[in-house]
Amino acid sequence: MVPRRRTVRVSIVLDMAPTAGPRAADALLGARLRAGDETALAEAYDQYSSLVYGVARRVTCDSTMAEDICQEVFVHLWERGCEFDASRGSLRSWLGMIAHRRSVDWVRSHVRARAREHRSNVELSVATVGSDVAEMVIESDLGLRARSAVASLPPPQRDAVTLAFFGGHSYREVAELLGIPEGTAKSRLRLALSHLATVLPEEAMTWI
Amino acid sequence: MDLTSPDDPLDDLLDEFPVAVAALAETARAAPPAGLRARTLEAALAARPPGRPAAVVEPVTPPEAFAESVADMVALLGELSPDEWDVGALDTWTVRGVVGHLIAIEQYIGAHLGLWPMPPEYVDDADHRLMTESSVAAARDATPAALIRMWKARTAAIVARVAQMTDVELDERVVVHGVSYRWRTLLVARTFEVWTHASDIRAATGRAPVDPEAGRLRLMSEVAVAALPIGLALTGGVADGRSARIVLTGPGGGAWLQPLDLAGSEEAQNTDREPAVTLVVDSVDFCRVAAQRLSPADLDAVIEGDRALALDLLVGVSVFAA
Repeated sequence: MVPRRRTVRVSIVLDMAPTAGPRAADALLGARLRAGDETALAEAYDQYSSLVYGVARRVTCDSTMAEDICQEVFVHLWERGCEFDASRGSLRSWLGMIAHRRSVDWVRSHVRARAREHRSNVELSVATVGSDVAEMVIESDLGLRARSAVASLPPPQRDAVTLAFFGGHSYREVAELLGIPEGTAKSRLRLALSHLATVLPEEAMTWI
Repeated sequence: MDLTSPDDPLDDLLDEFPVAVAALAETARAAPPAGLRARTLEAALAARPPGRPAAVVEPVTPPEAFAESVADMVALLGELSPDEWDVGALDTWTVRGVVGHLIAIEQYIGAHLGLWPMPPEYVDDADHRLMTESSVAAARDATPAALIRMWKARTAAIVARVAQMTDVELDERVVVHGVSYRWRTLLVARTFEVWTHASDIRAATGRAPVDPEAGRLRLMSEVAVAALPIGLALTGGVADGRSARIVLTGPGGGAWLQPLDLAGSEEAQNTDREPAVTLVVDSVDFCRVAAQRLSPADLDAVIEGDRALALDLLVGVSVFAA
């Protein structure tokens, strides 16, 4: 078992650039993981497990599943750490993305399984459950409320949110798809999130 | 949830995450159950043992590693222009002098292998460089083609001989410059030397450095790490039952928890498993320090723990290059 670090990391730099920031720290952590330094894995877990577990629990609404996903994500990081490239983004976002993707995959398979089991007495059916998890979410009771809330948004915000939440696009992609500046896309999304946060219960924001 | 503040972390998150994840990322943080950490780390380390690099490295044997360094050097010498042979390459030695030095060393090593008699001038072999000065001087008057021919002939004989060595033979000891080595270790040391001198020639002639392939680099790294205890002892450092975690990044790297007391000593058996220092450094840079081609003071390294010990280790690891 890898012990928790007993001391705060003292970064001794013989001649390392003093301006090294979070990206450099991520690059170093990634390099240590690739080299097989198990203490780097423990550090990554201590630093990011609450994010990974939190995202998984929010998306799946299932603590047990969130534990499994959290474990899978860090095993994946250890086994396939070479896939992480600090020049393309932070380790936080990389882990968050994997946690989200795996959680969505679980929700998708879970909803499909439920649809198969209760095809006769629930509205969900194979035909109505699309390939996008967002469609499944939006078909749920909670999703209906979220859809209603989204529908109440001003059209520019609604279009942006629909693409972002239910299409899984980044704000840059939303900007491109809508033909608007990135700053405008970001602004619309922030306003939309703000509005949804006031009209939806916390549980609904969980689904989003 | 206030998402409207101009300082909202959402702004940063939007730069990194798809929007749906961004909305979750900061607000969803939740401490995982206490037992999950141990289970997760155990599962990960079962999938890939600690110390093993994530990238699959094709292993090479010490004889193969030496042959690779020789092949690289042969190719390099073949592309040098006549003028480049007279460029200063290492202290007072020109490229010609470096090759003269290597010719002498191959003559010396080949004699230990029984390929030819030991030249009488190599009986006094205490100083690796001094013992080759006559060959270095003779190289001044030789043509590049003759120097290449001599070096190729000697290395070809050595490569052919060591390729036939059994594991038992590779574990046999030989005394070189007054130090007892196993043949497998000596061949990696020679791999180091030929690569280092090739790097000297590349630098002197304005060529870009060429790193060894991952398998060869892994062998070199292993030998350099394993040499830390004796290097520390020879340079007057104190092990005192401590160990060091050495993390060499990049191709051919790895991670080692290295006891610092001399192998076989009682202290080495009782080494505290919690390292006194962790040194994280690029594997090629570490090898360059070991070869005395990079000063510890110029090394980009991250050290956790006992910094003075780390510096002692970096000084000690290069002791064999002398």
